[in-house]
Amino acid sequence: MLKFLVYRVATIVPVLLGVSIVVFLMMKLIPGDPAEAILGPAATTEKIELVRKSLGLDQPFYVQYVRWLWKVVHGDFGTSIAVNVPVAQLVWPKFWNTVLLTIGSLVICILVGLGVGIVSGTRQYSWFDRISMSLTLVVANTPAFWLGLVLMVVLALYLGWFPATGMYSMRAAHKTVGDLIHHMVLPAITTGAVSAAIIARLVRSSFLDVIRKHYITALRAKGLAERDIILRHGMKNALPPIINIVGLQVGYLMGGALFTEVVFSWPGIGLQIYSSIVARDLPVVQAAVLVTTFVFVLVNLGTDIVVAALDPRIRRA
Amino acid sequence: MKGDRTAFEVLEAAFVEGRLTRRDFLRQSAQIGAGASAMAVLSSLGLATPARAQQQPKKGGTLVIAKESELDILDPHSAGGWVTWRVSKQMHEGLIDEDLTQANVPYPKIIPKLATSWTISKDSLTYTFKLRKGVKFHDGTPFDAAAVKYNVDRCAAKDAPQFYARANAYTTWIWQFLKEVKTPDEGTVQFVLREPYGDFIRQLVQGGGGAAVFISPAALKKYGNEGIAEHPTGTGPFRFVERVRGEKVVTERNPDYWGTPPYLDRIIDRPMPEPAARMTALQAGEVDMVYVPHPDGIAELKSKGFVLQQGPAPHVWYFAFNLRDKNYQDLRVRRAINMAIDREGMAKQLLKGTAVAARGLQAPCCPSYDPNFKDYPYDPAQAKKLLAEAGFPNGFETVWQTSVDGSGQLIPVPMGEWIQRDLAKVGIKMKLRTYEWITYIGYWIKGMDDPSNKVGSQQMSWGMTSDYWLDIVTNSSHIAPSGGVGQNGGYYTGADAMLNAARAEMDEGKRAAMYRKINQKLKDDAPAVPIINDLAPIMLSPKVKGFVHAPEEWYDMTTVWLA
Amino acid sequence: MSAVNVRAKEAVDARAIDSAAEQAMFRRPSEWRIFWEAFSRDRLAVGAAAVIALVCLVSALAPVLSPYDPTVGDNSLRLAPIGTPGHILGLDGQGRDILSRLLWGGRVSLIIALLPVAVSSVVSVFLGLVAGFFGGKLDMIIMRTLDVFFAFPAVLLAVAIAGVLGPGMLNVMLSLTIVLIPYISRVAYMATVTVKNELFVDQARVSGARPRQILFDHILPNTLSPVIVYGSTLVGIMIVLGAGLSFLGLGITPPRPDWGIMCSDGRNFLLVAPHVSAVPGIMLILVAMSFNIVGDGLRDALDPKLRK
Repeated sequence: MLKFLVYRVATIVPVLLGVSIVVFLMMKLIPGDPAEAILGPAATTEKIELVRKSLGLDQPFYVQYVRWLWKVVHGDFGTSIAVNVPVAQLVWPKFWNTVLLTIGSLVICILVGLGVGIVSGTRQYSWFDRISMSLTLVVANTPAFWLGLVLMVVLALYLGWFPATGMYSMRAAHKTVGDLIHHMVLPAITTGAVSAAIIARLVRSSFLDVIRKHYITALRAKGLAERDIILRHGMKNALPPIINIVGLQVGYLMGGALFTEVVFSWPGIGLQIYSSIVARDLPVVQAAVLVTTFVFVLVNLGTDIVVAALDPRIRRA
Repeated sequence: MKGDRTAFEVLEAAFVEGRLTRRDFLRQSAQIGAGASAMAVLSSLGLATPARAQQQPKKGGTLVIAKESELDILDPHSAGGWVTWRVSKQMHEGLIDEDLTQANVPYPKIIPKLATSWTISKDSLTYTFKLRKGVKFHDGTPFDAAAVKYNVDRCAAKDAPQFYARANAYTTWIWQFLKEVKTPDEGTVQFVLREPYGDFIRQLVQGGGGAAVFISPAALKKYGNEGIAEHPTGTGPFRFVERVRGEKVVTERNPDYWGTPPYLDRIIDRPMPEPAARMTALQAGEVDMVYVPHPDGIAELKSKGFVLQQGPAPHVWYFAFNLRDKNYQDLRVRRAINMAIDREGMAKQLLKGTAVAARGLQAPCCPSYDPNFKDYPYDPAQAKKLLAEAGFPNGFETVWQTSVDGSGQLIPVPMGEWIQRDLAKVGIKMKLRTYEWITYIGYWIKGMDDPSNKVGSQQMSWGMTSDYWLDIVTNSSHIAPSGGVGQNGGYYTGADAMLNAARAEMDEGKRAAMYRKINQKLKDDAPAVPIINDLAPIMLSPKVKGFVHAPEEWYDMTTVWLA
Repeated sequence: MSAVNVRAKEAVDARAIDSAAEQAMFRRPSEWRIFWEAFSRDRLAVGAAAVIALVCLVSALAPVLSPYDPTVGDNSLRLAPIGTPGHILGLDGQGRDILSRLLWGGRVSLIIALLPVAVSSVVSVFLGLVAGFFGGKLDMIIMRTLDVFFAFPAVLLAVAIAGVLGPGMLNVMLSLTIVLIPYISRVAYMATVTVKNELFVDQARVSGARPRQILFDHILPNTLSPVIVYGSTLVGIMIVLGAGLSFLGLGITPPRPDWGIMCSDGRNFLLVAPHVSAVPGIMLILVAMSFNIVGDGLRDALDPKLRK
C-alpha cells in the first residue's frame, strides 16, 4: 500500500508542473498588451514601457514563467486588471463558495443516485426501474444551463418557493445556514442532476452484476436475509467503482458548476472565471483555472487512494 | 401605419428628449385630448404632478441595486466611470454640487454643498469659497480648509508627500490650470488659477473621471494612498460598511450627517454583469432597482408593474474619422456618411426607445446644448450624390472599430452592424473590428494613425454636464501621445482656436453661445458622426419611491424611500 | 464529463478487446453482417439512429426547408407563442421565427459536435497507436503530455480555451477538439496496448510473419471499434457542451443562430414566453440522448458476449 501511495503521489508532481506551464502559456498567447490594459485612458508610450518593465514583460518566456511560478507558490497571483485588487483576494472567497455548492451537489447526487440505483438494481424490470431508467437517460443528457433555467422559472419565479439568484439574502442582517441552504437548493439540483442520473445507472448495473454473481446465491443458500445480503456484500463490491465515479464527478461538478453559477449568479469561482474572461482580466482567469485544476488533481488522487485501499487488486496493477 | 406618428407621440418624444417642459407637455396634450395619456407618461417617468395623492415618505429599509458591472476602486479621486461614481458620490462631497432633486430641467443647477458661498475675483483667476461649519468626516475628524488643501494637493501638487499620480491622472481636467491653493483661515479656501477657465465651476461637480470631493486627511494618512480605497471616508449622507468583490458594496445612513438625512437605512449595490440575471433578480424581488435593463425585457417587466424611468442624460454615442485616412479627407465624404445613417431607426427598433437620435456632437444636459439643433438629415440619396462628387461613386472600403461592451456603450456590436448596413446602402464597405472594453480603450487613446491601430474610424460614448467636454473630445491639444483621451484620435484641428477662446470666457451665457457656435462648426466640418443619446433607462420595483431621474448619469439617493 | 470517463472505462473493457483480437486473427468476412444483425436487434438504438439521421438531414436542408430567414425579425409578432398561424413554433424576442432558427441552428450545433469528435478521433488514434505500439520513450512523452491536459476539468478547459481564443465557430471547434484529444487518445492507447500484448503472445507461436505489418493490420481495426463507440457517445456530450459555450457567449457570433444561443436569448422572457428557451433545449436533449443510445447500441453490438 505504501509503495502505491508513494508512486501515485510522485506522479502528480510532473502533472501539476505541466498544468502550470499550460496555464501560463495559455495566457501568454492572448493578443493585447497587459500594460496598456492596466493604464487604460492614462496610457502614454513612456508609461507603457515603464509598466511593462515593472511587470517583467521584457524578459524571455522561461524567466517570466519561473518568476510567475515562484509568486504563485507563495500565494501571489498578481493583481486583477479590471478590479485593481490582488487576485488572491478575489479568487479564494469565490473558490470556497464553489466548494459549498459542490458539496451540496455531491450530497444530492449521491443520495439520489444511490437511492434510485439501489432500488432499480434490486427491482429490475419493475415500473420503478423502467421509469427511473428512462428519466435518468433524459436527465443525463440535459444541459445544466437549461435545467437551471427550467428550475428557476418554475420553482423560483412562478411558484416563489426558492430564491432565483445569489447565495444569501441581501437584505438579511446576518448570514444563516438556513438562508444558505434555501439559496443552494436549486443550484445544487441543477449541478448534481446529470451526475445523479449517471450514478443511478451505474449503481444499478453494478448491483445487477453483483446480484448475479454466484457467491450471492451461495450466501442465500446459507439462509441469510436478502436485504442483508444486498446491503453488506452487494455494497461492498459495488463500492470501489462507485467511489471512483464519485471522484470523477467531483471534477465534473466543479467544472459543471460554472453553468449553474452563471444562471443563478452564485458567486463562485466558475462565475468569476466567466466574468473575468468577458472582462479580459487574464490574471484572474489564470489563477482561477490553476486553483481549480490543482484541487481537481488532488481530489482524483484522493479517490484513487481510497479505491485502492478498498480494492487490493488495483494496487498491484 | 409604420410611418405615421400620432400627435401625442410627437409631443411625448419632444418631452422625453428634453425639448418640451413638463407643463407645456401637459398643456398641449390636454389640448389634443390626450391629457390622460400624458399623465400616464409622467407617472411612468416618476414625474407625476404634486396634485396627485402622494404617500408620506417612510424612514428605513434596505435598497438593493443591481449594477451592470463590478465597481472600480472606491477612491473618488483615482477612479473613473459612472458605475463607481454612483456609489462613491453618496459617501463623498465637494464644495459645490449639482441639484439632482429636479428632473425636468435642461441641466442641473449648481448648489452649495460643503461651501456655503463662493466668489470669483475680477481677474477671473481666484475662486474664494466660504466653508460650512460643523461638518465632520465619517471618522469624526473635522472638515476644514486644511482638509480641502490636503485633498487638492493629493491630486495636483506634485511635490506634496500625499501626491498620488493616479489621482492626478484621473482629475486632470479639473485642476489643470490650478496654480495654488490658499487657506487664509480654517473656514475659507481659495483656488488661484493660471488662466481663466470658464467651466471650472462645472468641472468641480463632475464625477465621470476623478472627482473634486474630499476624503478625511486623517484616514488618508492612516491607510495611505492605496489603502484608502478599502476604507472610503467622506462627509456624505451615506457611509461605507463593507465590500465583497463580485458580490456587494454596502453603505448605510450616516447618523451624524450635517444635512437632511436620507430615508434609507442601507443601500446594497450588487454587480450583476449579465442583463438577464439583473432582470430575473428584479422580477424575483431580490433587487429593487436595475441599471441598464435589457431593452428586450423591459416591456414584460412593465406589464408586471415594474417602473421604467428614463430621461435625457449627458451621453452621446458617436464615432470620429481618422482625418489622416485618405478616404476621409474630403469634407463631402464625411458629410455623406453623416447623412447615410438612420439614427431614428436605430433608436426605435434596435434600442427599443431607450435612447434617441443624437443631434450634434455636444451631449445633452449642459448649458450649451440646443435641443433644436439641426443636424444632418437622413438622406441616403444625397449621401450617394456627395460621395460621387467627391470621387467615390462606388464607395470604398474602410475599417471601423468599437468595443464589445463597456460603460455607456449600450450594445455596440449590433449598433455597429446597423451602421454597417446603412453604409453598405450607399456603397461603403465597412469592416467591423471589435475588442473587449479595457483592451479597446488602450487602442482608442493611441490615435488612429498609430501603427498598431490603423483604422478609418473609431467609436466612443460619454458626456458631461459641462460644456468643456466638447473641448476634451475635439481640441487637438488632447491627442495622444502627450496623453489623454481627447480628440478620439482623429487629428482634427479646425476648432482649436474657437475652443481655446470659449474655455477662457467667464460669462456663462456668452460661453454657452460660443460652444454652440463650435457645435455648428463641428457639424460643418464633420470630424465625427454623432449617433445616439442614451436615456439612461432604470427599472424599479413599485416599492421604490422618490427616485429622481435627474439629467445626469448619477443620482441623489437621499430622496429615495421604500413603501 | 465523467460520463466521458465512464464510457472510457467501459469501452476498454478487456472482454470486448479480447474477442475483437480473436476475430481479427481469423479475418471473418461477415464481421459487418454479424455486427449489423446485433445492432438492428436493439430497437431503441435503431430508433435513435433514425432520429439522428432525420435531424441531420433536415438541418442540412435548412436553406430549402426553413420557412423564414432566421436572422430577420418582425417586431410586431415578437414573442408569439407556439401555434401562431404561420409560425408553428412561435417567435423569439426579436420577432424571428423559432422553427427557422431551429433548423439553421441545427447545422451549427451538429457541426460543432461532429467535427471536433471526428478530427480529434483521427489525431487520437494516431497518438494512441504510436504511443502504444512503439512504447518506451515515445509512449512516455505522449501519454504524460496528455495526462497534463487530462488533469483539467473538461468544462473548465473548454471554457478557458474558448475564452482565450475568442468567439467564433472555428475557435469553439478548436477548443472542443483540444479538450477531447486526451480522452480519446487514452481509449485508443489502451486498446492498442491490449491488442499488442495479446498478439505478441500469439505471434510467438505463429512463426515467420512480419510483426509490423500484421500488427498494423490487426491493431488498427481493433483500436477503431472502441474509438467509434466512444466517439458516438462523445458527440452527444459535445452537442451539450458546445451549446453551453454558445450560451455563455463564447461560441459562434450573432446573428447566426445555434441552439445554445437560442436558449440564452430566451432568458429575458422566461415567464411570459418560455418557449423561446424551452424549444431549443428540448432539441438538445433529444439529439444528445439519441447519440447516447446509439453509442450504447454500438457497444452492445460489438460485444460478442451479447451476440447470442
